[in-house]
Amino acid sequence: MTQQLGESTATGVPTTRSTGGLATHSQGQSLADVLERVLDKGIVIVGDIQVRLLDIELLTIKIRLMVASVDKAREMGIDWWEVDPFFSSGGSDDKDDKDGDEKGGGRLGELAQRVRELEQRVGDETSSASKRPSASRRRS
Amino acid sequence: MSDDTVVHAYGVVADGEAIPEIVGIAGAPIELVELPDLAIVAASLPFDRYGPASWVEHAEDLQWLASVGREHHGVLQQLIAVRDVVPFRLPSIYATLDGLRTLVSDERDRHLAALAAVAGRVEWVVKAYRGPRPTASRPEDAAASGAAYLQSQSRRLREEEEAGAHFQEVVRHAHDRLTAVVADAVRNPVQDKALSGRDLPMALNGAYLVERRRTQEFLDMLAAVEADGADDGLVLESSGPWPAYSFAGRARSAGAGAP
Repeated sequence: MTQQLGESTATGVPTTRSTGGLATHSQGQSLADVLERVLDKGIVIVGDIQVRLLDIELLTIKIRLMVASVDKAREMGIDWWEVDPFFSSGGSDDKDDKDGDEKGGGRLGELAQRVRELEQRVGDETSSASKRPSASRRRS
Repeated sequence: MSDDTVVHAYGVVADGEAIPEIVGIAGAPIELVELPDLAIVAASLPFDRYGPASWVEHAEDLQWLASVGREHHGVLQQLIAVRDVVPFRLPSIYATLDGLRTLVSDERDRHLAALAAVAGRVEWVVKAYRGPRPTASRPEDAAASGAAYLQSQSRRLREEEEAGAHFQEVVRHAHDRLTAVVADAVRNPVQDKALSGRDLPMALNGAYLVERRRTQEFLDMLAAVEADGADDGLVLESSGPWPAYSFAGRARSAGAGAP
């Protein structure tokens, strides 16, 4: 069941196509994999939070909640982490400001509960990850 | 870049070569910010949608994070087709270009080391799952008595334990064989089933830093490992090439931007 993907591009064949070329690369790159890599602390299903900056604490904790909501999303049948070709829903940017406001409040308790469940399930097996949160690179 | 924009940095490349025209997050074209010996790949984004407040506001908003994360990754994915890149992790936003230049300059050695680490190399992901063993099932004798039943139960438990330990050994060996044909390797934390989307338990979430010119060798080894592990229920899944997220980060981990 091995998927050998992107083989033809592994040799570095130049491509400047903006979206079309990506599908072949990204097949098999699940959203969980992408977020695990691009977010600074990875997807923290388990692991220690080492807080150094208040800012970061906020972000870390919320990312943990976000992970729980992945689980929740799956339960609800929303499988948006199964990657379709990148940018297939490229227009989704413009809805960003609404979602947070609509869902807010009551969801937090539910998410916290999901985090606890996830943590319980996964236990402490991967505390080795050494994913230290770095200090914020944010400057404002 | 003005007050209503924020600078988003995608990563660092060696200087001296042009990059292809790529449109990134929010449709903003990427540009090169040149420094001695290296260049930063960056873009100006609307502050009200991608500034610090937006990150805090959307930190639990999977859809927003997924959108930004994929677009960020999409740019890097296109870049590694033509260049070696040290990918930055998110959030990677800066108030001004000068601020970005200063921060990267301050960590110049670290960035150069990271560039050297990923030169000519890309990341591949290999996950191993524990599937059923094709030979594992055998007819169970009907228990003749309570004592015999208990005995068979405890025997089965013991066998399961041994099988589990054996499988871990199979996985470790698989990882070692893959590691032998790559420049570097790391075992990331295994993903929960909810994240992997598979029913089988994940036993390995490996990242391998593969020399581009040795990609075929790596893929051949992958096929060999999978074939050899089939009898033990080893199920592999691979994807790549990826930007070298799991390796570039090790060279530039903590301390970025610390005052």
